[in-house]
Amino acid sequence: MSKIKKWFGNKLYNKKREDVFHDAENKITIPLSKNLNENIENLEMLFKDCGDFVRRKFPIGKNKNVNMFIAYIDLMTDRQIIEGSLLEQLMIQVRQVPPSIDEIKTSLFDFIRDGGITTADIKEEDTLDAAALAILSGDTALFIDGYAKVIIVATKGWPGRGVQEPDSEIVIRGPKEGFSEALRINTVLIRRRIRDTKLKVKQLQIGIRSRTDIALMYIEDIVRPDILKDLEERLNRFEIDGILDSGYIEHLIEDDWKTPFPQIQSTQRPDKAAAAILEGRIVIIVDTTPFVLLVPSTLNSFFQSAEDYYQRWTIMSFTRVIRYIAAFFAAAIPGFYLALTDYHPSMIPTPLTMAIAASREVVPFPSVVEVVLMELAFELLREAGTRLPGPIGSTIGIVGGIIIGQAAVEAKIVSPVVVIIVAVTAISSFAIPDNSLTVGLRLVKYLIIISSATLGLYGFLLGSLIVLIHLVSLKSFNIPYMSPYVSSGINEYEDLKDSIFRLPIFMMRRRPIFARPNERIRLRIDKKRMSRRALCFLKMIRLLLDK
Amino acid sequence: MFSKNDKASIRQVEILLILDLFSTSVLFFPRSAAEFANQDAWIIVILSTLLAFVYGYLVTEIAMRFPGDTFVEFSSKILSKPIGIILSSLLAIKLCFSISLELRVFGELTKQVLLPRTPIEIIIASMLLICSYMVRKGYECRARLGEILIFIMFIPLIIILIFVIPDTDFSNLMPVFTTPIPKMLEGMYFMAFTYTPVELLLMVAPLVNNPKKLRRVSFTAIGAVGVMSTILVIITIGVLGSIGTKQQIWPVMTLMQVIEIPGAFIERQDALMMIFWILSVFSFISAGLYFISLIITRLIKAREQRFLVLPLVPVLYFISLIPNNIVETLEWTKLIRNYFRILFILPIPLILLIIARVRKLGEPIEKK
Repeated sequence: MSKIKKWFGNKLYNKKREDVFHDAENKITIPLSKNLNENIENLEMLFKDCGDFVRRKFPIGKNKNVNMFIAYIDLMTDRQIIEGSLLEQLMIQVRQVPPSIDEIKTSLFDFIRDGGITTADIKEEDTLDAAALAILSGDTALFIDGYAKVIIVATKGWPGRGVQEPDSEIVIRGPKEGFSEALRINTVLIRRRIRDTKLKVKQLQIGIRSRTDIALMYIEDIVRPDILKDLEERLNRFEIDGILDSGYIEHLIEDDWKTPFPQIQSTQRPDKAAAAILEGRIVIIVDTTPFVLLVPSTLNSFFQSAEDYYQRWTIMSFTRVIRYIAAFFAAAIPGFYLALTDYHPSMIPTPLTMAIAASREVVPFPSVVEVVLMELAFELLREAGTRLPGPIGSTIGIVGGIIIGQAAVEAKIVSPVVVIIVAVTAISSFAIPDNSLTVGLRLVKYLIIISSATLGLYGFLLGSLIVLIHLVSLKSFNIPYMSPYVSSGINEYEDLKDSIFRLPIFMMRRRPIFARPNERIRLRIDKKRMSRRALCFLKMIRLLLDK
Repeated sequence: MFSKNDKASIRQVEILLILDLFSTSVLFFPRSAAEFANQDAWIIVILSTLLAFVYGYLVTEIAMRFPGDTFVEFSSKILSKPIGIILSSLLAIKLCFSISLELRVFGELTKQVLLPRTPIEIIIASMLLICSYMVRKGYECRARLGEILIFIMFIPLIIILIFVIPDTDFSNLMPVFTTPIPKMLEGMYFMAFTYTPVELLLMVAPLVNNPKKLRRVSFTAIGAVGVMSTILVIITIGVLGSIGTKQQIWPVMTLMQVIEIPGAFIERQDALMMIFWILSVFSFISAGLYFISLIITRLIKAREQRFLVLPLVPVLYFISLIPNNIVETLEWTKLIRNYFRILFILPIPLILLIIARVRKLGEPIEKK
């Protein structure tokens, strides 16, 4: 580790620049001095050419013989706190306190700390590095002459987006709050849902330059200690200059880097994150991004949407099945079409074969080219649509719909059947709740197109087998990715109750495998109060699952 | 809990065994049974299943005595090292031949039904490569995949069989018990060869999280496969008649071509049957490939099994291309079956068991 650290340290922070003030990990090495002017000089030098650095030196006491110095970054702070709780107190109130400031000069630091600042969140630091980091994080540093210590006043308050409705993962029923860019807002959104002292918010900083705050949230006695330990190890195994989105973290800690499938779920919804925490998963919140990560994740969790649990179970079970079918369609329909029409037209009912053949008669390309062409056209359309601002975005829809849909058919470049196939694929891919899974399936689709186009139905099966083999070999934090479908008997089939079907809440009494084995019960129902029919149904399900 | 999942669970092994047992035979199973006993074929199937239980008992008895060892280790523990090595290599060679021939049969059938213009070499090579990809992922992955495959394979098969039932003419099965008993026993003996994959249990013990339950595994799997094949034989003979069944190379494929599913969108169910067949052949060949590589790994005491898989691919490929045509392939299969297959399910486990008992090796199994 130390070797890696050294190597990375040299790479990320170039020592050859003869910067004597920073060490290999970009930490400031200058000590705090008792002399205020020296400290000011050092700070001024560190923040040289930083236009957003605000500082003020002011005297204190009736004789104005002691100097103080505050520093903060403009607009990253809450001005009201600085002015009301800090400057007003120090400049006006403290000067009037008897006994005069000269008498308590020896314990001035403690006096200011204990009685001079009217805000709760303050702390003492004794290194310049900590002070500078606090200033850069939006806090205010207060230096007092004659002390090699500094008081950090929490004044964080920068303009943010506030809590808004998330723009992905929209629900019809359910809370409309979404995560925001500020770490603290996000932890609050979760804390508001779980009022338990055992809900821990473990904070750390990652990024040698960016010093991004990261919080791990989990319930101490539900989370599995091996997963938590594994996660912490993985977070410690790299050093990076900056983290700009949770995606960086996701890709640095995931199990398999070669796969197109996402192994860590991300969400914008606090209710989903809270549900994950209650299931024993760990939520990783990264400052400056509204996307929080949920670990571990299985393929099944990408098919669950927050709304599944707020609506009635019957309709949501149906929707789940639809989603699984959609995922299959999104990956397989073009390949299946090619296999059938190119190799086994006899498998399709004769009238349909005739119809397809008739529509393909005028098309000059082989059907593989046709399908790939249309799929690529659609990818283009999607890519163009996502990056464009709203009003122009809708134009793309019209242009794409008319030109690619209608005109291409009329110009006899593609056959109408292929247009239908591509459209079904596209709609299916949008029916999957998680975008990152959709992206993975988009790539899988091309693999299946190629294999089906070369070996027909046999190739289609081989392609699907490759994908299946790959999927069963994946693991997310030591939990099989295809669980609960492949981990038979584990957790008494409880996980299957929330998989391809979503059974009623009263049946899901145990937490999934993410939770600690002895903390699996999540729901207790007084059996006397349950209707007999429901009990009977419950028994039936249990019998079925136990085969 | 999942730290244990590095090994396959009992249920997973059960599923894998069902897949392996059912795949090897299903397509020509009714024909060979009908050759022995005409309309009484189903009785033969039941009898051979009973015989298979004996195999299962023997194989698991010896495997459960050495829960941490594969065949390679316990055979050399029991019968001294050189004989153990010879026996293990013999088993590996036997497996090589049986999966290569299966591969050839599979290639021929796929070519005939699905891909008439594709060279058989490509079909065989692609299947082998996919299997080696699977094997490289390890036994747990195979076990996990089995749990998914069993649904993909058996649910459509059962649905199709349900649709065939109206077409079945049960009078084709009449009269019963017309076959003389010696002929019946001979048929039972030969049909029981379809259960030879039970021998794979000889090597599975260290890969399972609860080797003490292997007997249950073998019995459930043999029982399930026995029921399935009996039903299949009854339906095939019911639809095609015993003479019709005998005339077809692949009676089950013909069965699928004959039936009509009401309101089905796909016109040829035999292609659907091919899906079943491809998947089951895949699971059988990857099982064989896995265990061959496992035997070699254990023999040469290599640390890593994965690297041995790819060198095996060309070997199997060339073996599968030795026979000139499908008839010759089936002849070969019969040859190997008659002189080779029986070794590892009946005599060898029996000898090993007796010697182990006499020498008091391994852990004795507590009786309930």
